[in-house]
Amino acid sequence: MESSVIVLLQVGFMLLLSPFINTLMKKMKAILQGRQGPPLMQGYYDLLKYFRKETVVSEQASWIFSITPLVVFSSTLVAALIIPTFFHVAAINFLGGIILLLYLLGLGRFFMVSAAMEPGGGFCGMASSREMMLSTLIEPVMLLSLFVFATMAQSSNLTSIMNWLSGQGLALITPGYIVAFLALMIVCIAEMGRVPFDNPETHYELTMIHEGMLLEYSGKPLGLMFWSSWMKQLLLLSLLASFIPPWKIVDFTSLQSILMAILLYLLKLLFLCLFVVLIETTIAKVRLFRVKDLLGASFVLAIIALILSVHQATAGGIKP
Amino acid sequence: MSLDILTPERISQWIGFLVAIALITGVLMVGCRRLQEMIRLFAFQSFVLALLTLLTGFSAHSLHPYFAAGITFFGKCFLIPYFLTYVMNHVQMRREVETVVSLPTSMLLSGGLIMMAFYFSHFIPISGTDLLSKLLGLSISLVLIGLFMMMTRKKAFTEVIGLYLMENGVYTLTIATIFEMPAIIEMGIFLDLVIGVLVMGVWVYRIKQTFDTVNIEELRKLKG
Repeated sequence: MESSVIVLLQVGFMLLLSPFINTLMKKMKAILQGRQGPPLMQGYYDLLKYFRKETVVSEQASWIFSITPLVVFSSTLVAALIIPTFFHVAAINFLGGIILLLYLLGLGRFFMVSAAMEPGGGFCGMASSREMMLSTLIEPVMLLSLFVFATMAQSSNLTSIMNWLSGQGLALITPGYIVAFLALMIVCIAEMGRVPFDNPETHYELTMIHEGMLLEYSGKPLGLMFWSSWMKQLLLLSLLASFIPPWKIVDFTSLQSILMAILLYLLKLLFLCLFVVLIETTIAKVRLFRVKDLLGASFVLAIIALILSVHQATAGGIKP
Repeated sequence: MSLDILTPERISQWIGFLVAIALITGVLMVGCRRLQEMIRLFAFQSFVLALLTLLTGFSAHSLHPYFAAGITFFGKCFLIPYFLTYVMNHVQMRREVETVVSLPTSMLLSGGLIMMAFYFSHFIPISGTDLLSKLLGLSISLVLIGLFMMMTRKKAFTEVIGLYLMENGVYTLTIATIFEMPAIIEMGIFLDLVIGVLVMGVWVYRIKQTFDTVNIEELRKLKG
């Protein structure tokens, strides 16, 4: 009973709120830059518009091009169910490992890259080669920084990691934890395709990465692709939010505790959005060839975090 | 003083944070591109080490560490960085770092060095307490990173900064092992450092005068 409610809540939240969160970030950024910004419902209007439009497919494109939006959308949705959002329990907690999460995102990315090369557009090919370059740098860092938490909690299942986190309280905030969180944050911003790495708002051919791969899409598939990229953004934000204190083990019998957990989660999410937007307004986009420096730095951060946490564990600091 | 934030467990936690910050600044020093940034990072790291000294002094209930912290604060955060900046402006070299190994690679390598340092710090029999072994790991890794920096940088000027990074490592070792370093010894070491930076500044300047460059690779050519 309770798990089905969680699944419903989480699916509904991920599907319905992700356009809103994206527009919210746009609006915040606009306000910080002294512009008016889009109305808060703009994401939904956009989706409606895309779903009403006609679909045009290139003659060169094969079946991969047409199934890709479905694959990307469904893999992102499943990935979104693995991570804990409102509660310390994820919607699907029997198979939810860190590795599965990363490779579900990887599956979507693989299809997106191969579909972008299908219609034979020049910019699509360039964007997909860039995306692959970035992903080879992102994936190890993300895996390593999540492994830091996994070694602390002695489980790679996100629900058990959250259980352990909520049990520990503030004593958990060790140097290793903070450094790992920093590394995870850098890499999540890279994976979201936001500013120091990629600018979600430009449409210049030479700078775009994620947008470049969607150039040949139109109509409903384009809507699905946008929707899944917003969902991925919300997913990564919630992943980050779940590692920010304070944590609470939710008592599912009392309504008050459930509402508190939802409120807390939304607050964390708002805070993270604000943070990402602040980074976006204050820092310029890094040149593509400098991106590897930044991601390399976050890899070293993750290594340091791993050393510090293992060191702490062997020196008898915290009990797993 | 019965503050809640200064119980022994809290102090150990704070020391852990400072160790992490010092490690990160060490890696950033290897990774940064500009000499001015490097000097600033060095000053910041020395500030962190001064705080570390204060905390160890507090937990050891002795007065000498406070003195050492004060000296470190004034010397390494202000005096030495100021002088290094002065020399840098005076020599008029290019302000970017030139390396043998590329910057991302050297950051990765220094991550590896940190790993090695923390691994081997377990085998040193004095590393009894948690605090001590953490500081020991920090000091070995700072020494290794400084050595690495001296090996891979092409300018005579960066060698000086590498040497001071190594000195920071050695300093950490002293605060980790000897809580009560007599103030007179601390003064002596500090005098050594200041004289060292003066001599090396003059040395870099003379190299520039004689060879027209501070690039070490050029120094093989004979000038007569």
